[in-house]
Amino acid sequence: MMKKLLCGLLTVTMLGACLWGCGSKGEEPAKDAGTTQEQGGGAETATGTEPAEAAGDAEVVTYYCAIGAYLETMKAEVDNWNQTVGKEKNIYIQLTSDIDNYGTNLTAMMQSGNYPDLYDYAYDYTDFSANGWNYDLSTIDELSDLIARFEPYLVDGVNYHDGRLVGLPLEVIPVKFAVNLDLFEKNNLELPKTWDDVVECAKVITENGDGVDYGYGFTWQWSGGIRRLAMKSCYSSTGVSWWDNGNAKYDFTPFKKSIEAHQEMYENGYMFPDPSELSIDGIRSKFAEGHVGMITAYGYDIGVYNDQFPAQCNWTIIDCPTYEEGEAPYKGVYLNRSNVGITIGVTEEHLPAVVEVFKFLHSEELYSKLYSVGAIIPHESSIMESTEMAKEVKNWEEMSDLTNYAPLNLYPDNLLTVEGDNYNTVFQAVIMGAAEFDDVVGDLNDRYNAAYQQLKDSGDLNLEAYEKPYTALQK
Amino acid sequence: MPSKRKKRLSMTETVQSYAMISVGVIGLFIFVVLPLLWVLRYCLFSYKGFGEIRFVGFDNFVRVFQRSPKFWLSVRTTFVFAVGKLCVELPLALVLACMLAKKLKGRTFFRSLFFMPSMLSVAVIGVIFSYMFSSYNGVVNEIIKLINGVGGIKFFSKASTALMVLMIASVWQNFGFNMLFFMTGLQSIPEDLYEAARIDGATERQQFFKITIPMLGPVIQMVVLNALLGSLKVTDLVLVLTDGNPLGQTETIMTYVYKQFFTGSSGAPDYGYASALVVVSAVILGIVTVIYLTSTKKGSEIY
Repeated sequence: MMKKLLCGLLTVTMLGACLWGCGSKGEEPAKDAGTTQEQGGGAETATGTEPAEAAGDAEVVTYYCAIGAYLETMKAEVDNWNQTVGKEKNIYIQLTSDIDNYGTNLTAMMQSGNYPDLYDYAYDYTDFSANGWNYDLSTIDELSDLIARFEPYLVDGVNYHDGRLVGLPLEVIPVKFAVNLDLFEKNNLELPKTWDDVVECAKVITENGDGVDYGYGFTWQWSGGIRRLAMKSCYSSTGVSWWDNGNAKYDFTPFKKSIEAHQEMYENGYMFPDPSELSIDGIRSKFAEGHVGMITAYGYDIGVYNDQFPAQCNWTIIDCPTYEEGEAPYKGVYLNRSNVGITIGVTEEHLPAVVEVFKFLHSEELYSKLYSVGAIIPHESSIMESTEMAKEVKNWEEMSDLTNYAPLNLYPDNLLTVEGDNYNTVFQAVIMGAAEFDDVVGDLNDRYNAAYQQLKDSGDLNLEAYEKPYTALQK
Repeated sequence: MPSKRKKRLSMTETVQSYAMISVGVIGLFIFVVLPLLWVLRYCLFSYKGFGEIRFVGFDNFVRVFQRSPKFWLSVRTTFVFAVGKLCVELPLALVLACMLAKKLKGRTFFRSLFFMPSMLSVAVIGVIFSYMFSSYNGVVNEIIKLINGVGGIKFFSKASTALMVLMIASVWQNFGFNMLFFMTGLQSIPEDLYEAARIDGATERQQFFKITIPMLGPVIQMVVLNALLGSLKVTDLVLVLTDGNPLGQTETIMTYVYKQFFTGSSGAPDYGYASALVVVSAVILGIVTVIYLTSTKKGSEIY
C-alpha cells in the first residue's frame, strides 16, 4: 500500500512539475523577465550589479545590454544609483551584459515573450518596431522634456521607425585609423594618407618585422568584419555607401580600391596572420602588444586600448586613408548609436519605475561621467565642453574630433533575404584570391537589389527612411 | 473473489503505469513532437521574424535542392570530417582499450588521463587548439620551425588544413569516451575463449581478429553509430574553432542550418528555408543510419 501511495505521489509531483515548468506567467511579464541569466538564448552574462536578491522588496527594472568596454564604469554608476536614488524611490536596476551574439539572443528573447524592461537599441532593429516589441517613447508624457533635449539629434530611421520614436541618442562612434607610432618611427615611415600608402607602409613594416611585427591588422572572424574594417573606412573617398539611398539601389563598385588593397596585403603577407583565426579582440590585443602597424578603429576602441588591452606601444588615431591624396572634403563617418528602448513587456503599473531608470540612463550626469572616462562621445557638445576628464585617456581628443565628419547612412542589409553568399563572404573570396572583384560585383549587386525589391514588394516594412537621399558626404 | 481482486489489482497497475509513462509522453510531445510539427509547418512558409508569414509551397525545398550549393558543400564537408576522424578515432580507442584491459601498471592513471579530454567543454578545446595551431607563435608551428626551419603555416586559411585541425580536435575530445565503451565490451568477453584459443595455438593477432573483434560486434556497432551520428551533427566545435572559415569551406550541416535559422545569409533570419534544411538534414541522417544498421546487422548477430 505504502509503495502504491509513494508511486502515486511521485507521479502527481512529476506531472505537476512538468506542467508548471511548461507554463508561463503571462500576467506578469515584467517580473518574469527579472533575471536574464535564466532566460536562455546562450547569454553569457556579466552581471553589473548585485544579484537580484539584493533588491529586497524594491521594484526591479531589468536592463539587458551589450556594454563591453565600459561595463565596469556602468556597473559602478548603476550600483551607485541603486544605493542612492533607487533606495529612495524603491527601485532596483538589474543590469545584465551580453556582448556575444547580443542581437540574436535579444531577438530570441523577444520572440519567446521573455522581455527585459530595457534593452540597448541599435538603429538596425527595424524588425523590432515592425513586430511592435518596443514602446513609442513619444506616447510617454513623463519623457517629453527628455525628448525635447535630444530633438536636434533625432534621425528618421535611427530614432524613429515608421513614425514611432523608439530610442534616444547615446553616442557617436567615429570610424578612424589606429597607428602604432613606434613601428612607424622604427621604419622611418610617414603616417599613411591614402590606401596606397597603407599598403606601402604595411609592406615595409612587415618586411622589417622579422615575423614578429606586421603592417596591418584585419580579421573576418568578426561578424561583418569586412564591412566594418574595410568598407566603412572608405566613405571619405566613395562619398556613398554600398547602399545608394537616393536611388534605392545597391552598388558595391565604389569599394573596389579598398578591397583590392586588402587583397594585395593578404596575398603578400602584410596582414597580421591570420585573418581566418583571430577574432577582433585577438587582433586588437596584438595591436596593443605593439605587433601591428595599422588597424581600423572605432570610437569604442579608445576604451579597448586604454583599459581592456592597455597598449604597450606609442599609438595614435588618424583619419582613415583616402583613395587619392587630398581628395576628401569630408574625412569620414560616425555611427549614431541610440541608448535604451522600452519593451512592450513593461506593464502600465511597472512603467513609472522603468521611466525613472530610463531618465537616469539618459541623464547629462551619466553621459558626462561616461565621456570623462573615455567611454562614449555624446551628441551634445555642451556635455563634452563642460566635462573634466576623470583620468588621462590617451587619444580621446583625437577620436572625439568630429570636424568634417558626417553621420553614417542607413542601409537595409539586415532586413534582406539574400540568396547565396553575402558581400562579406564574397569580398573575403576576393581578398583571399579566390575571385576577381570585377567578376563578382555585378552578380552581388543584382542579388542584393533583387532581395531589396522583394522586401519592398512584400510591404512588410515601411522603407521610406532607407530611401531618403544621403548627401552628407557630398556637400 | 480472488479473481476479482486480481482484476482490480491489474487495473490499478495499468492506471499507475499509464500515469507514470504519461510524464515522459507529455515531455516527448512538448519538446519533440511539437517542435517537429512546427518545423514541418514552417517548411512551407517564408518568414523573416517580422512581417507576414507567407505560404510558398515547396519553394524552400526547391531552393535547398537547386539553389543552395553552400548547403551541399557543407554536407560533403560533414561526411569528409566524419569519415576522416572516425578512421582515426575508433581504431585508436579500440587499441588503447585493449592495452588498458590488460593488467598493466598505472592503467587506472592512463584510463583517467585518456578520458580527461571528454570532460572538457568544447569552448575550451576550441581555444586550446586555436592557440596550438595558430600561425603566430602557435606550438605546432614552432615545432615545425624547429624541424624544418620554416614555420608560419596558416592552418586556418586553407580548407584542407582547417578541416584537419577540426578532426584532430574532435578525435582528441572523443577517443577517451569511446575507449571506455570498448573497455566495457572487452570485460564481457569470457576468458575461457582466449584460454581455449591459446591451447589450440592461436597467436595474439589471431585472438584479436577471431575472438575480440567478433565478440565486440554489438558494442562496435553501437559505438560506431553513436560516433558517426555525433560527427554528422558536429556544431559547437566548428563554431568555436573555424566558424566555417575559410569561405564557408569548413561549414558543416548543422552550423550552416544554425546560421540560416538565426541570421540567414544577410542578417535577417530565414525560418522557412532553415526549416526545410532541417528536414532534408534529418532525412540524410536517417538514410545514413538505416544503411549503417542494415549493413552491420550481420556483424552484431554473430554471437
